[in-house]
Amino acid sequence: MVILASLVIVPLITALLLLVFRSNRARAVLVIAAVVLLVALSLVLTVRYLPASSGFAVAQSGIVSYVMLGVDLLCCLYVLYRGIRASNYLAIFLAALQGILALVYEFGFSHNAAVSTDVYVDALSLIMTLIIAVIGGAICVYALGYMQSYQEHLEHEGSRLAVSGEPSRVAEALRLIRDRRHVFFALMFVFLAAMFALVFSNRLSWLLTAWEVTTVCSFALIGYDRTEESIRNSFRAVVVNLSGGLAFTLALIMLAGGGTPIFELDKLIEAGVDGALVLPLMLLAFAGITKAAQMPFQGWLLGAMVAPTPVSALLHSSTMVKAGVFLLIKLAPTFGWNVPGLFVLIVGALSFLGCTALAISQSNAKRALAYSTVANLGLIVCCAGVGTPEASWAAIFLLIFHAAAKALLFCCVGTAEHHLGSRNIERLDNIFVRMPWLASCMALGMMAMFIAPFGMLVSKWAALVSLIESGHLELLFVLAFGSALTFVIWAKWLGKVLAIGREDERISTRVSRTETVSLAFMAFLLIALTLAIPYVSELFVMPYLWETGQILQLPLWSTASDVLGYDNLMIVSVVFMVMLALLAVQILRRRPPSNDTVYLAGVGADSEERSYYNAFGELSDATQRNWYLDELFGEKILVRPATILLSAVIAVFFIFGIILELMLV
Amino acid sequence: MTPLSFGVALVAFVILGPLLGCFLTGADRIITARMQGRVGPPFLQPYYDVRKLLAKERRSLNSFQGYYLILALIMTILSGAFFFAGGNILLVVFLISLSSLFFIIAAYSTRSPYAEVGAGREIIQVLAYEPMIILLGVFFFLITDSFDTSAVASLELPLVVALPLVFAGLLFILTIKLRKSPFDLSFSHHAHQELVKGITTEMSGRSLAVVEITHWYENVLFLGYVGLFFVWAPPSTLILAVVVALAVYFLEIVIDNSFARVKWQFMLSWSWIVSLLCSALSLVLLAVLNGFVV
Amino acid sequence: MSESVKSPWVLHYDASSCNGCDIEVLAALTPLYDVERFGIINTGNPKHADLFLITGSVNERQVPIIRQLYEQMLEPKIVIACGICACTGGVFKECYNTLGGVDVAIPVDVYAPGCAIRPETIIDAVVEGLGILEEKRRLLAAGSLEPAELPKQPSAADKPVRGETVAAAWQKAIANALQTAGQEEQ
Repeated sequence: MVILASLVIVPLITALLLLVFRSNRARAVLVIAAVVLLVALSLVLTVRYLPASSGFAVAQSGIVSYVMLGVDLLCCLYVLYRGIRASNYLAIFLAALQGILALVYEFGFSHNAAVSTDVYVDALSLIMTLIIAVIGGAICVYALGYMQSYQEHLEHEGSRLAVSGEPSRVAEALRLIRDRRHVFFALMFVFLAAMFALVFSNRLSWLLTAWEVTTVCSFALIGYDRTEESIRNSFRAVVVNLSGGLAFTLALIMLAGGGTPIFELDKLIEAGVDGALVLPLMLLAFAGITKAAQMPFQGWLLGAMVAPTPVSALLHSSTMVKAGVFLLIKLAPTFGWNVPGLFVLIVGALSFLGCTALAISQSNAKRALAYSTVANLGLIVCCAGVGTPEASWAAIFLLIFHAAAKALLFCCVGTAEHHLGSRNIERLDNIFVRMPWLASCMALGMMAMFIAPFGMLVSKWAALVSLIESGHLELLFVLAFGSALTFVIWAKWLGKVLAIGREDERISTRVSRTETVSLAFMAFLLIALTLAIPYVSELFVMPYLWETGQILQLPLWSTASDVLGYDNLMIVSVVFMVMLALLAVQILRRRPPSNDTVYLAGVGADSEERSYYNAFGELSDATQRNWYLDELFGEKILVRPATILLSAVIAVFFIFGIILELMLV
Repeated sequence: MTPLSFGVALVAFVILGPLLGCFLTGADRIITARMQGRVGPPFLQPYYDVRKLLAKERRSLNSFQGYYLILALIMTILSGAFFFAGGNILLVVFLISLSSLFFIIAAYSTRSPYAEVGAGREIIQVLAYEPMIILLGVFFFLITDSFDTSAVASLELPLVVALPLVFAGLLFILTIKLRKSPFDLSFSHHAHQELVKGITTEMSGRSLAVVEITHWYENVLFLGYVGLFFVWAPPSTLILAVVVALAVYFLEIVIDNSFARVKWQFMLSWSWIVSLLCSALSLVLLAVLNGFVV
Repeated sequence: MSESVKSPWVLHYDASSCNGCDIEVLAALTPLYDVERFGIINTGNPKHADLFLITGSVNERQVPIIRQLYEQMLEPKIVIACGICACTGGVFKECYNTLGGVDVAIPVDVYAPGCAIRPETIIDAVVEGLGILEEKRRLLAAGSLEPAELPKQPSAADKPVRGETVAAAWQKAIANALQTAGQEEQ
């Protein structure tokens, strides 16, 4: 219990300290110390509570509730304030409504409710804790180095503007230059605190507050740059997430106002399993779907790309979108062949297929990663919607491995962007020669996203099995075609990253040590997790399913008898890791210079530059752009129909839900 | 699949795979020549080609391409060993895509414009055939309740009876996998259908020999897929499977010689349409046949 | 006979041929002559080829191209000059833009004359070349294969001219001027 509380309080205190001590050195010490402490705490918590789940009642829960409500209202006020300054009426409206409803819920229903379990810890929240502490922590450490060069870059830009001499520009320049990194890091830690609170809260009102804090933190972080674009995108994010939060609050009010009032998550799941709830579940699912940026709400996550890279890494891997799928996985036992289940399943499946296809058409590395995130979350959402234990197993596995791989990928792309000056995939040319270790990490992250023997593939495979088992045969098509599309995204990108041009040219600028260390750590984590797949399953995922009464019908993964081919996969794992090690040796070794020239129809000029003499005897460059299949999967072609289709799906399901709810009443 | 059966299959596949693959390719070249009114090369011509390539000077654009190709070869051998040892059929599928991935990376690593075009086309080919072979694994599971290929040995009727349309879908994408016209987009064995030599443009000498050998293994593995549909409980059905696989190979040669290469758009859209239709109708058919087969 | 002799893959390059010899080269691949009987395949990629088959006379702009293709072929490799133009320059020899046969650019192993060359001659030339190929393979295996020496970089200025045409004289003068300019720059 003390550890639970300290997991929330430590990052908050760190955030406060970060606001006070603003020197680079103090910040580095604080961040690293806090991260180490958080990781240690989460490990202690894991050892202490695994595998059983336990719930606690908080002694002064009334006071905590007041604090939580206060935080919630503060969040609303902050959005209100920013909304008024930016004259964004939708945000103002949503924030005001949210605040009022929160007050209504707290004082109208929840405050004096008898709640036996305020906070809890089970294997799933332990998994989330570890992800938040370890991966989120690694990203915070990474951000130290990254934000240093980010700030330098801003100052450079600012001084360029200032030199231009126009008064308005100078003001803008001064604004650009102002070092607000202390706010940035404080927000990152508040984010982590909110995530911890979110995975431990059993009292729904507290869960709601944590939910809203993540919304507002992401809002502030996306708008960190204060440029026109970043402010616009931050409002887009907050509008979507506030509507999700509103749905959440409405669901809570409905639950509290029902025949048997429900104020706790575990009670809610129990009631849901009995089939007594329809509309509240759908509203909660809607909240999860908006937060997980599922279609048609994917826009906010793509817009969030304007933020500094650590923010994207954090949003995509360990926080924010993971909060959305966490909620849905928690609710998974209540889904299945019912209206909320089918709703979640269809939205997830379509998002998976649509966003995988869209990711192919992206040449902007961060956008491609973002679409791939939405796609993978779609798969998790879809699995949650299936609602069987096998599907939950797959969903949790996807969540773990997606977090590990995406954090690494985003951080790699961020560092590459700083040192190569572009986030365009085409511009990553020759990165393998210029920054071999970075390219290797990136390649590892990409491979981890789609090929055997890495966890993502194992989870997809489990998803396939669970779909067969649950009778959702139509979704097998989604998965089969989606997997093929996934191959395209990563294969062509991997090709670019691993292309070798001039062998002797290494980049001169040094990558900061915090960046290197956290990248190396994340790469190591990925490999370790892959080798530990059976233990992840047996120590974490199975106990959670067991505890929540989800008993696997099919032996997905065990050494005795299994569907996924435990021994087969282990052979592949070992072979693959040996090969990776050999490859690493190959990278380390001094390479012999190329003793061949590239074929350029006999008119090649410089083999390493890929230039040739054209028909006029002049030099031309032989360039080759990757395939983006714009005419098939471009945003212009897919986004509008997908948005219309999915909005229609959501509308239809809600109409159904309302009718059903009325019939139930 | 026991470790022993895996070991036996691995050794057998390592030795017999290239032998069979070489013979198949040799026969292919003679039959193709006869279809074109020519005499054609000696039966062992593919073997001579590879021996020659191995004896060539060692030269490469970078020190990684050869390594990636070896990885592709190892992955193909592993997948074949799993397949013939009665291992997990979906794992075989995933290993095949891993092998393709390394082949593609090998081409990309050279930064040759021609090889990159070839690599891009290879990716499109994977996009075209992957759904069908994943769905094949799924249907296999629906019928046998297991992903292990060894499960066919306990069937009372061959898979093709329950899944004729899935078999048809397999035949369609088999043309891509065996690198036969009209779907030999990334590289073909025929002269002058290429942007130079497509994905293999920068692979020479030993590297090209490795590519050829990998292709032999792949051919055998995919004919194994064909054979899988014709094996059931009696062991003698293995002979039937071999005969059918050879017949299908002959059919592919006929197709190879009857069609010109198509555009990738055609290949992609038709592969997907066929995969989708075959699998969807198979589901319907399964539902109808449910009482008889499952 | 070793395997390298049983699988000679061909790269065909058309220098300044009148296309007569090219048609004959392709004719050799047709069912009537069917060179695949000997394992011969037309590859179109120097990196895959063992035989470099060149038709037509060579002009100045083709020299670096022919050399690059030649250099991109892996040892053991041989060059066959197909047709009289490829052997010596043929009827184009004294043309203002012609330097001569293939041997002005790269060392030639087999000269196969004819105008146009007959497919039988091509087959003969290849069979003749296979002996040299085998010898080179043996040397390569023994580690004693010396890279063939390229002829001195030719230019129009070196062109052996008997009855010099007006155009050729101009060409020669311009080339000389360019060469001196180039030397001065250095």
